[in-house]
Amino acid sequence: MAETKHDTVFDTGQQYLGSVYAKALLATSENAGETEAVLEGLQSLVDDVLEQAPGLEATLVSPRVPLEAKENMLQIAFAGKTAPTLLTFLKVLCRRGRFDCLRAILTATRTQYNDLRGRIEVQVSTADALSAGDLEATTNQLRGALGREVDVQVKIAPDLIGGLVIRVGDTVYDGSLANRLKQLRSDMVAKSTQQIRSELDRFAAVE
Amino acid sequence: MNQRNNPTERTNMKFNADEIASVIQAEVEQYESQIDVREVGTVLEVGDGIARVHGLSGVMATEMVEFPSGVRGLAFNLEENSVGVIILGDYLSIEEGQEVKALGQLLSVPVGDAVIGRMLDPLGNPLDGKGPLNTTESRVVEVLAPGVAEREPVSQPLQTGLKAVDAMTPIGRGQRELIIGDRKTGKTAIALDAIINQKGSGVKCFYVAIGQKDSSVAGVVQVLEEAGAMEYTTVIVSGASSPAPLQYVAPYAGTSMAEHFMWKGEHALVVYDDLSKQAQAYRQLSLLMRRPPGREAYPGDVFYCHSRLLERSVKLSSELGGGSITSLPIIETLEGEVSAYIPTNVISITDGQIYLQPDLFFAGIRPAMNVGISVSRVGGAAQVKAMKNVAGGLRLDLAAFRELEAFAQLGTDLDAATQAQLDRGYRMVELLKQPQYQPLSVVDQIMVIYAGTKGHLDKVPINDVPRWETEFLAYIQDRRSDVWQVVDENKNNGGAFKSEDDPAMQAVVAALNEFNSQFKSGGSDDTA
Repeated sequence: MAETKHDTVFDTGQQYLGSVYAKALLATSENAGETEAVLEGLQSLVDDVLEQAPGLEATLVSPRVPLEAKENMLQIAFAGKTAPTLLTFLKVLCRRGRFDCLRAILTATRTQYNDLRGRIEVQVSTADALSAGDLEATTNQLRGALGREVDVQVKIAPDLIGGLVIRVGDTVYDGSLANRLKQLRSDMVAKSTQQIRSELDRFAAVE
Repeated sequence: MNQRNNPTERTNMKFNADEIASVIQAEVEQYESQIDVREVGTVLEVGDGIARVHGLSGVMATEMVEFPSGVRGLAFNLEENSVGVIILGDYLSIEEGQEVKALGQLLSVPVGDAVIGRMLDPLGNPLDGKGPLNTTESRVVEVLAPGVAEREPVSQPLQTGLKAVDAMTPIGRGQRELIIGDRKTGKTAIALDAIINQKGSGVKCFYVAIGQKDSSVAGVVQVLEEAGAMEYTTVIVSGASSPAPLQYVAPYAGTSMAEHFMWKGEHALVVYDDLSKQAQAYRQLSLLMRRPPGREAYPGDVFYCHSRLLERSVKLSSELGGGSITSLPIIETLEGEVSAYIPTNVISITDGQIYLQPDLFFAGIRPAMNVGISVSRVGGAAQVKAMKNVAGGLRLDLAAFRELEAFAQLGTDLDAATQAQLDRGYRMVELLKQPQYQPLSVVDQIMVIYAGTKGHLDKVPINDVPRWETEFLAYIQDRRSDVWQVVDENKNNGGAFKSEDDPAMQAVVAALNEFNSQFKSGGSDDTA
């Protein structure tokens, strides 16, 4: 069966494993003092390497490839190019046969890192790209409103037409033009039908 | 029927476009946009009427959620990493990855006079093509039943119009009386008779059809319409083709609509047809939600599913208006197996049961009630006094008759007393038969049953008993309405039909003697 790549495919087992490995990774990299580098390396590994070369991931996940070969591969590919802690961690993952949990580990590490730093992840969606000044202003506003350091991730969604949609955790603050138009439409329909129903004679002319 | 406010019923009607435009203009001008704050999640998987959602971390149990297509659902399972949602509508319009919005509300249905006479789905959407419901009131579907202090013992009768039921398993307002039996034994017919008999009594009726063929429901509605019963009845339909979540919700929705009237001090009758199908729908949901299966694969809380529903049938105390909900849940058994899981559950919850048996049904004894094991645990207190005095010994007499009948089949010679008891039993059985959809008033029932139990029919041939009954009742109606009046006035006296000097009894005896003296047995329909 083909592997699903949808970002909502959900595996509670993987998620749980991810949080355990993330905790270990964070603790190690904190001790080594290279947390930011590890996090960046992990993100780039998923985005720039594994997404571009699905064969590599398949090889690293496959139980048919001997462990030494995998470790060799990692050593040649990443030694010197990434934080040593990350390289060791990747080898441990291979040894434990948990390389398939890498994406879950990345998500969990990001969340736990933010918690650790007292930061909160905020997703800001706009119709057009925000200028640097606007982004700065939005970030400052959010920081003030949430009382925490924010990690803003900007997403461009043209179908919002205008305005901002801000997502913090599972709560969405929707100030987009598309949503306002939708609200206006449903309000209009609801109130008009209610009025027509309650004062039928005003609207209807019986011949 | 509520057709007054129905635009489609009007002829040659034109909408005034300018007026509508002005309303819309005012709406646009007054529109104040507010930032829309919502709790969201993402659909992970969807199918078979349920969806699994990631996110919605603040959602509460049974809170409503909305999918982008406008379909709503209920948060049914709150798990560590996901939320199980039951979808109240077309789940095929939902796709993986869609945003789900928590509405911060509980499921509620429209209530009020506007629902009377309508056919609705469990969410209160009209199914009868008679236009939208003109009501602004609504009630939450799942509420806790009133507590002990808010209740009163059952004291008022709810007449079903069926001789066998009203005489032997009387039902009081606020009672839960189970109708149980195999398929095709007349369960729905009893409930429909009870609904039809509420005409003019002010009792609002709610017929909740769960998991039934739409053709059967159409048949029921037609019967109710022909009997003029739709004027005070609401039919809530969740047919066999509707998704399991809707079938599961339907009885609660019907009860909510009835509760509206109960809290106004009025009386309501709810028929759940049938709760076995609802239990099956709930089992389907629970299994799909991966709740652990128990006996017969039903989830562990299927008892609670029915008990919390039936606990809402209540007689409220007089301080709270004294309203009531009487319920007639229906359970279908397989091969008469009353010891299966769901039947035993519902039997133990309800205040009695009417047990219908196929062999009686096919022997022509209709309603096919098995008198021996049908009971009403609280209805006796609510029974009309005269009926209680007349029919008090009827159940035991019939049970004794059944035993004797079995004995007599051995062909032994019987002494005169035994033969007389048998003869009276045969007549009594004949007398308790009743055609479908022809409920009798309680006064008529009292007179007829009095005649049967006191031997006034002993000389009437068994085959003539139905004709005797029709002609006697016609005779009373046409010529001796004074007797009818006397019985009606005295029916609530404790001594009615008990003490020798009771005026009602004397009047009925006189009328019976008079009628019997001119009743011609043997096929003649000339009563004059």
